[in-house]
Amino acid sequence: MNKLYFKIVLIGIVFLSISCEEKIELDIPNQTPRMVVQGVLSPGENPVIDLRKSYTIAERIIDEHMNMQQIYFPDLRLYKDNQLVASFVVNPLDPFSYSLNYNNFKVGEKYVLRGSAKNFPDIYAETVIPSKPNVYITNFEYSSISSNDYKFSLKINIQDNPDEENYYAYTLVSNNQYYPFYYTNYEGESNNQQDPSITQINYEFYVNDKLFNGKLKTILLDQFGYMINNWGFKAQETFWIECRSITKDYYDYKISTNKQGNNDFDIFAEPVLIKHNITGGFGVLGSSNIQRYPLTIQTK
Amino acid sequence: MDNRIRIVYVLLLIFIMLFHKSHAGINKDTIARKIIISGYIEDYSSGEKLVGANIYESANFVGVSCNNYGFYSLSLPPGNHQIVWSYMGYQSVKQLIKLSKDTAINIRLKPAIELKEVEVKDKRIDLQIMNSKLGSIHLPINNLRSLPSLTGEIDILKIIQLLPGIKSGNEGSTGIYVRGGSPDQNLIMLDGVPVYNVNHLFGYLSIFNSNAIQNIDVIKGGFPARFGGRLSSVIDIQSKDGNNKKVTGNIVFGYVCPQITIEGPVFSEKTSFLFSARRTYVDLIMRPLTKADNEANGGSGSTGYFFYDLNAKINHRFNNNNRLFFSIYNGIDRFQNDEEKTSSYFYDFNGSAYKNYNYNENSMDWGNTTASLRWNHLFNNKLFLNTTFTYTKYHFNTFSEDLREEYQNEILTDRQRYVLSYNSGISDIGLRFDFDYNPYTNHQIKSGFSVVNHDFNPGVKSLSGSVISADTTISVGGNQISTFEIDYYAEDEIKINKKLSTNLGLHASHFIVESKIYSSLQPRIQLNYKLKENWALKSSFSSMTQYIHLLSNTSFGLPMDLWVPATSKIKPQQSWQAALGISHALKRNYELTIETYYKRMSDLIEYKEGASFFMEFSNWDEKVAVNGKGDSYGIELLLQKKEGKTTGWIGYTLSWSNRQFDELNFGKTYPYRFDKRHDLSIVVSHKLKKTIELSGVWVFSTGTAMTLPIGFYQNTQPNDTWNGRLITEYSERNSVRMPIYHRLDLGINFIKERKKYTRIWNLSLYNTYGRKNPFFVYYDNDYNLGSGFKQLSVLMFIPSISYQIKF
Repeated sequence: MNKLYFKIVLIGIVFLSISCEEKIELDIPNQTPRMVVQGVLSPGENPVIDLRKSYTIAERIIDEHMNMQQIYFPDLRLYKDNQLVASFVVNPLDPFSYSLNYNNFKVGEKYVLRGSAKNFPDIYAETVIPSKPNVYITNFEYSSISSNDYKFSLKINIQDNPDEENYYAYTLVSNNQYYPFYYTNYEGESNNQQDPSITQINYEFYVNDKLFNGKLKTILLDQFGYMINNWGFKAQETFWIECRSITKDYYDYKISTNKQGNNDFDIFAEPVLIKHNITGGFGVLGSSNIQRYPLTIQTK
Repeated sequence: MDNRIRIVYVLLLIFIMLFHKSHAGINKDTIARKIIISGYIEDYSSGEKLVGANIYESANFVGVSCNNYGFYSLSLPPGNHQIVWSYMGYQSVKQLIKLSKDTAINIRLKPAIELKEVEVKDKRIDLQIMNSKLGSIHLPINNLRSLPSLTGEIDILKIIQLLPGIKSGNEGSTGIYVRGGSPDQNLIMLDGVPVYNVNHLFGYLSIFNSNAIQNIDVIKGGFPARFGGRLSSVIDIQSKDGNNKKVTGNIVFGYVCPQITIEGPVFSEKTSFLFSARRTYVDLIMRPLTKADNEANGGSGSTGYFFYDLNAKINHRFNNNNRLFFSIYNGIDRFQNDEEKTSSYFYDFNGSAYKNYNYNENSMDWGNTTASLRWNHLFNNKLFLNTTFTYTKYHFNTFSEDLREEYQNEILTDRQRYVLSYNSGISDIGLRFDFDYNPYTNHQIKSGFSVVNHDFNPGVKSLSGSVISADTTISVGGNQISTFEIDYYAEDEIKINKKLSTNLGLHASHFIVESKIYSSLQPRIQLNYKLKENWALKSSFSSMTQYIHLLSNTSFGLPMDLWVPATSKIKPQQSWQAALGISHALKRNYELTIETYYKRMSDLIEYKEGASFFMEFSNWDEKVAVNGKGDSYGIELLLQKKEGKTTGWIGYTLSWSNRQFDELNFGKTYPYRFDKRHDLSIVVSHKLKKTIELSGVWVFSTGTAMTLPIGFYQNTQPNDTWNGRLITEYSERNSVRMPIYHRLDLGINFIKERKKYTRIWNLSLYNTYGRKNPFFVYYDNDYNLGSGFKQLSVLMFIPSISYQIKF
């Protein structure tokens, strides 16, 4: 009898564990490849955007087959007030890089990108050039000093324009190198936790308009690591606090792609929907306006 | 709902009650002296209370139903009356009684043994049609025992899933989704105590042992005022009191777990007990196998999983006016894996001997403990009091330890130890008073209040890391939150005339959390109108408030789902629901109910996009999207046959359920995960002869809604953390449907009565025709099959067998 029950239990476990995997067809819209644009317009800079095709779910993705992403002979044009500004031209050394010989972008101007290519739906995107951030540094202090090295902290004031929905990105840069901050927050709040309105992406901090809402806010920055030993600064060097006003579309795109990347390995995480502004395609056409503040640091 | 509407309702309620009372005051029925006939209705052989049994006076068709404790109170004018006590599945008792003074009569009904079809023509059906509430279903467990099952024993939550308006979760799971609501919006009570996690075996089996259960009441809408605290349903499960005549019991050997139930009197009929227990076999097989495997690879350790649960109840009748009940439930699921391995020595050029030691342990356990102490007191034959002290606790713990040591010439040279633990849970202590007052034939008044202390432990994560020279411990997560909930209610079941009756009620509550006090007034109304014989038109309106939320990443009802309270930042959930329905008693004991409903929900919460209960080291309240709205509407049809050789029902639901959060799906409204347009269940049980019962269940439903990728592209943003990574473009939230779901289950019981016991062989086939229903669907970039979506199916054609001895 015991043997019988043993067999019954084993059979039960086997049956419960039996599973079957099979490929299925689902009724999902938008199954064709799309044009993907990722680029930013900034006053004084000739824009360079990345254009490539998306993979559909039916295509097998192989890293080394980068040419699968290439779009041949696309027509990409930028318009202002329905007037053609210029057409984008492909970089002969990089088939995904398209540049525009134009940099006279003015605050408040609306630009429209239209694109078409064979076998792809047409794309459309628009963006408005934001005003420069009204930023000034109110305090600079050394937070830690060793014999020949130092860390520092900064207070940056941003006076938000109440008439615009502005989002900001700021970072510390020198000689085209970015330096990480240890911590950032805004004044008047607990220093124990970073405000959810501030998101760090690589060495840049992205700030939601909710944080300001047309008011003056002071942001605290603390340096992570010693400048000379950790980051290879010279004893005396000039660097910049770089602060950009960015459009909401660009902010949303950055935040959502970053969130998706952060949760790539968490099987329990909810899917992150990417907030793109390319009608008919994917990606983002954003715009920004940069303000740079030089600082010269000396070791004591 | 607008506060002004609530205030208007309260004034209206007072007006109606006063008006009706004054009107009743000039009614000669109520002016005349009334005699009260009261008592308990119980099962003849076991003494179990028969909840919902009817008593009525047959000439004038005046009657009431028993309350949850089997007590009734009916007022009639003095004189001779033909009184009928009846209950579904039992033989009615009729008595001609001369009433001249208040009379107490306890009645014991015998189970019906007649198998041939009998058309019940008495007024009981009419009374049932009028008394049954819109959105409420009473399920006596004895009528369901022959149904087929996945594990060889019936699972009451899976039977509830077969009712119209109630959707199941994923394949095989015990998830309950009522009229577009989420699982946390169901108040699931065992003997009046809320149970916070109802799953064993990762959702494949509910914690409710059917052999210990007497009755189930399911309320989907038209909530009486005595219930509160949840938006979507009340599932009131009452355990058996225990046979007070003789010791009886049963032993079941299923393929998942054996179980034993025993009940009987203690010393005399005044005291009885019930004890029931189950435990899985799985670990008894898994552990030796995994241990042997580890030893074959030069290590040690094993892997195992088990669950058990215990139900115990004892009750004592001091006299006809005082009864005391104590019941307790405890159940645990535990998964545990440990592995230990020491490498053999290896040597360097200098002759030094090296070895490594690795130890790894992972465990996960979760479970509930509930207890209730209940005192039924009869002040007089009009006033009944039930006092309940309740305790419930749910915990979920995970623990993971990874230890690595390196030795050189037997001297420890390096040591790394990482420990991750995660604990969450909720516990309640409460006290509740419920009064039943039956002053007149036309009024059945219920009122009461309760106080509950909820302690929430919303996910505390602790990570310890230690190396040879230093230890570090980080603890992150929500602090324990203690809250108080106070509820009071009053409702009156008013029979306005022979055709029209109403249940008017008001539920009020306060919730105190983090120095914030939330208050809520929740009006409830139900109207029943008898159109003609065996036809009734019904409507209801209820407003509900819920002060707790469940954060859930998945639809499996996994134990890591997190119970959290409304806080100063997160508001309580609210809803209102309106319903209209019609009931009709057909010939040959068939009963047809058609209901339509509309439900509106607000202040819902969900995990934000990208949020997870586990990976992020941040507080739960930072991970949630708040101020969500939801609505659901639909039509439900239920055709059931409760008595006769063949019983069962056909349930069909056509419904829609949507959600909207500013922070999710770009603010656009999206379908709820279990928005299933069509849902059909056919449940049939047939007594072929005295020794053979056949049963079958067929279910069909629209596929579950889900979010899936629709494309990928490379991230090429300069200076971006994820530059070069593939970005996934998803469909709009829940805009894709899994394939349709359908399956057929069959069961057969072979019953043989022996001299001292009855034995039952049960054979069940789950998913008889092997339909590959989707368990989940995922994207796979497959080299051989090509990229695309794949479906994982489980539980295809699962036969099961169980052997039961009843004595």
